[in-house]
Amino acid sequence: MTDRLATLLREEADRLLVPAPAAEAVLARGRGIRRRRHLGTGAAALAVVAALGVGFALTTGGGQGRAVDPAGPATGHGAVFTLGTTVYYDGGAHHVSIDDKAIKSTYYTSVGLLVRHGNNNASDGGGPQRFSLVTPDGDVQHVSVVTEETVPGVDPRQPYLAYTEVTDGTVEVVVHDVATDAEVARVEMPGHFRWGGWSGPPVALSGDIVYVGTNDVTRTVNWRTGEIGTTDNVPRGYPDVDGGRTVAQDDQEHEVIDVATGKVLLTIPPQKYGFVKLSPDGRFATIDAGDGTSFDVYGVDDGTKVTLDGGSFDYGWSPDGDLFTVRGHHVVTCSPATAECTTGSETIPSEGGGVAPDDLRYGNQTFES
Amino acid sequence: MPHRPGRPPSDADYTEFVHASWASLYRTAYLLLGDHALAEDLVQTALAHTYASWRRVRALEAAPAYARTALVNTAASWFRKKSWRNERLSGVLPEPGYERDPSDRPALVTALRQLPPRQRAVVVLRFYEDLSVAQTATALGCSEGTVKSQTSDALAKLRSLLGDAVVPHTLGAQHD
Repeated sequence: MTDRLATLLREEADRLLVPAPAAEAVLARGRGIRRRRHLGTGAAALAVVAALGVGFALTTGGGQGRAVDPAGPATGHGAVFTLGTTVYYDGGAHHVSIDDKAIKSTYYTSVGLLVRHGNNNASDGGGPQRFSLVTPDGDVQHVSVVTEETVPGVDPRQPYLAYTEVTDGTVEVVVHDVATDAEVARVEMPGHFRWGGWSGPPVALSGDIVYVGTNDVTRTVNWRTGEIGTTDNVPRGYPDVDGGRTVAQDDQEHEVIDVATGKVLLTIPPQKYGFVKLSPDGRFATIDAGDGTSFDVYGVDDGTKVTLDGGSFDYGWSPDGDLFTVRGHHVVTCSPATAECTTGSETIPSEGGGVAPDDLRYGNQTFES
Repeated sequence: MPHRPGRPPSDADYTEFVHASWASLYRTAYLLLGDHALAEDLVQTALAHTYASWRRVRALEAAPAYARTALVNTAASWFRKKSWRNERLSGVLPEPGYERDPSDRPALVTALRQLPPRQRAVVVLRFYEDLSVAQTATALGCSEGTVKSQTSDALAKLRSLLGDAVVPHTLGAQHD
């Protein structure tokens, strides 16, 4: 009775293009899980963080009984932020130090927190941009990529860093696996790039697609197949894609758009000054009130709205989808669905090392202008 | 040197196992999730957990079954998360992962994408992995009644999309 359905399922499965086995990555992740299980109580710390069916995982060992899923859509919690050259995670309960002069920004990935750092904390005009990965073990691993004046892209569900390089006028999209520290794709693409003052066009990564902000159009690169195209679903200029969604906005209205289909998921009334930003998983959108005293948080899928005090950029998004801020010396975490906030018990110091020791930066926030 | 049961496999042995099991696991993962990146992540996660749980796996011969169970369990845990449901039901339809041909076969993948994650999983586990109602319930962490109702709902939806020729009216929860 089910023969026809079963046969069709098997035929579909047989016709899939199966990617090459990632044995090295499997072994690395397996060892990471095993190490954590072997660590005793009190050794290091634990924080699994993930966004959205989206996963950023940051873990240290220790703790008993807390389920650990090192990557991918996983449970997780806790604010992630940097102070000077110190990375705080698990709501500030644990921290690691980055061996450089300053941290520029951080990115949630499926294999940990990717940290961009360098000689100063400037994203634009700040010289070399070096990268380190804070792994689920709490280890800090060197990533061999060094960029300058580039705007990288990550997808929190994946272990990849995407960016562009321009050689003799030719733009190349590069995708680097930060877990294995190996370049996995380099795709040459058409089009020129002159705007913005960066060395190459800015990018966003969502699934297999790298969105590239070239001069006249947003181009798409499927880095697995090399297929290149263009899209009208992502506004021209600086591509900003979160959880497969982007924002188109003008003076009249703000729209949250599904980048794959172009479908308008939510329309938000404009405010005098505010502009719409998405959470890393794309589930929520924020817009600041005209007087700057509060901001609204919309649920993109259901249109719900709550209001929080302060400015939206004074808050970060934890990998598992909560808003948080550091107020005084404590982390305050707020639900984007109910606006209920709780103050953590951890005491956050005033400085965290490096040339900008009091520079507080929230996870996954970028600072390119 | 032959592998000794209970002792963790060498990197070479486990690499060989990963290569041998990867394609089959990936196919199941893709049918379950409908997304290349997530499918690859799911397979990696399942194989990493298998490697890390060697005391329970004990032997390479037992690893395929353990990895497949880990894969389904992990997928089920993803489905239970609200954020996953929100994301997957947002209307995003991932690409199928192969060159489309003009036959009617891609219609099945398109139809699967229109099922909620749990219904899709039930269809894949029961009709692709050939699990019983009880096995499917265990794998997804739900009751047998839920599996039956999900199966019924999923088949009704597939029938409306694909026609009686693919999903006859006689099909239903009695498949065990």
